[in-house]
Amino acid sequence: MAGMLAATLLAACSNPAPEPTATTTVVTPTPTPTPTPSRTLSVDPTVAATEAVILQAYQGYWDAMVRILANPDPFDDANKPLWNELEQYAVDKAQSDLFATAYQLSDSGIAMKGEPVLDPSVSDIVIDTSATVTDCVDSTDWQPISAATGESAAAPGQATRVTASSTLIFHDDRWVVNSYTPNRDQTC
Amino acid sequence: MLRRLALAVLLALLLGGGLTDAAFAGGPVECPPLLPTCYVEVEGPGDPGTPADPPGGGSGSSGGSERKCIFDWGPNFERKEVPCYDDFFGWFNDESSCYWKLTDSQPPDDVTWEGHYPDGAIYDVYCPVVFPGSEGGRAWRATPPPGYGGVTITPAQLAQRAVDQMKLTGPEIHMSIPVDRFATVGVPVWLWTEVTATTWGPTSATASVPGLSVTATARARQIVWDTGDGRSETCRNPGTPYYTGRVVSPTCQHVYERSSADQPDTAYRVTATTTWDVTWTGGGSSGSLTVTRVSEGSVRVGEVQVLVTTS
Repeated sequence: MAGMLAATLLAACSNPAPEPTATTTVVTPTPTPTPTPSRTLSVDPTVAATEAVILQAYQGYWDAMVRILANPDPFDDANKPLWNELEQYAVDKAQSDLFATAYQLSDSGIAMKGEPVLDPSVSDIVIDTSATVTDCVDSTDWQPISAATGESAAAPGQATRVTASSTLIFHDDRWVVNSYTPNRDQTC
Repeated sequence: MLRRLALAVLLALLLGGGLTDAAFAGGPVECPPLLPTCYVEVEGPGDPGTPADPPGGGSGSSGGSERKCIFDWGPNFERKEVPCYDDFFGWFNDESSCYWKLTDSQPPDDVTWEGHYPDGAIYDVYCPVVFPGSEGGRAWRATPPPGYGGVTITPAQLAQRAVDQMKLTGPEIHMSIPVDRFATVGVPVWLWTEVTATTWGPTSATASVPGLSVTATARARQIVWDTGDGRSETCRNPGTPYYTGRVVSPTCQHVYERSSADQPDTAYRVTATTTWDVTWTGGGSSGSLTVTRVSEGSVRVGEVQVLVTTS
């Protein structure tokens, strides 16, 4: 078991996170008759703008999440404005998973205090359809704190920086986070 | 607190065994879906997740006038009372233990329709605990889920409906004197009822509406036999069917002291009232109630005329 863990850590150390912008790929929904290939490393203005909008939605999702989980009781009326705000940035599992997370934290008497440091990058953009955001979430300063003791309730031995992947979709004329998954076993 | 062994195992899998068993010593480890960090749950007095008792403390015997919503994921999980409705998350569905809310915009191009548009509707489903088979998220349904829009009937009202379904009756009256014969003053008349599900019990029935189901069980407690002569016998048993060779009933009888000759139809009117104790459970609450059922019969009582002749 220890060997397996060491191997995992080694792999993580020798394999740094990919450069975000360099790997950005663009897939257009319909084939374009232009002579230049649709996959390009030089980002055209439309894509750059789309990427910015996607990152805004992703960041908006995170901002709402961080504030919701700071006072996680999902049934507290005081939190309803935050959930309404979240709806601007999230649908489907991204929303329902946050409910489950908030419920469980609240049920355990724990709140997430502080703020994570994010490092998101966009890939697989399909204009007006979908995109992927990969991230490296640094939770050094975003910790589960017990309401009763005021102390950290984090399980010992966990990585503080783990990767996360997210899909966004173009829905109701805007980009929204469709799903978000932290990969607790992938350090970055 | 919510999940126990299952999560510990899950975490062990997720972390590839990186955590030693000692790490679990503080309590169960929770890994809600969106957190990069798992946490150890510390049970303390401030823990809001105390199971069972409703917040209002209404655990009285006749409680349950309102529907209660219990988050119940089976034996490995703790049962929790949760709100039946939330402005944002919608209505609690007892079957899935998730909240269901009609999606505001019902966008026709949403993949959730799976080709059904415009039949049915799409919902946002929020589950307090997420695992395969109950993840939450968007879902299509042809009809609203159980409990959607609220259950207007209370469990107690539904229990009454279950009682109606049982078709409880009064006793099927039997006496040791056939109807065409006369009982005799001073001689015990045995009283009994045929023992069936509907005359003595126990019997049970379940009444349901979408989102709520109540099961009631009824047992007869006693039969009060009003024997028509101004007296009555209370028997906490169904009585004993008459058999020859015995005069006194081992369980339930009445001894008439006067003839029924002066009664209407020259018979005593017998009114037998069965008292039923009903207990019910469902919709997160339980309760009890008492109902009575009446049967009627009659008996003619004569005096033995002893003709004494003297010579």
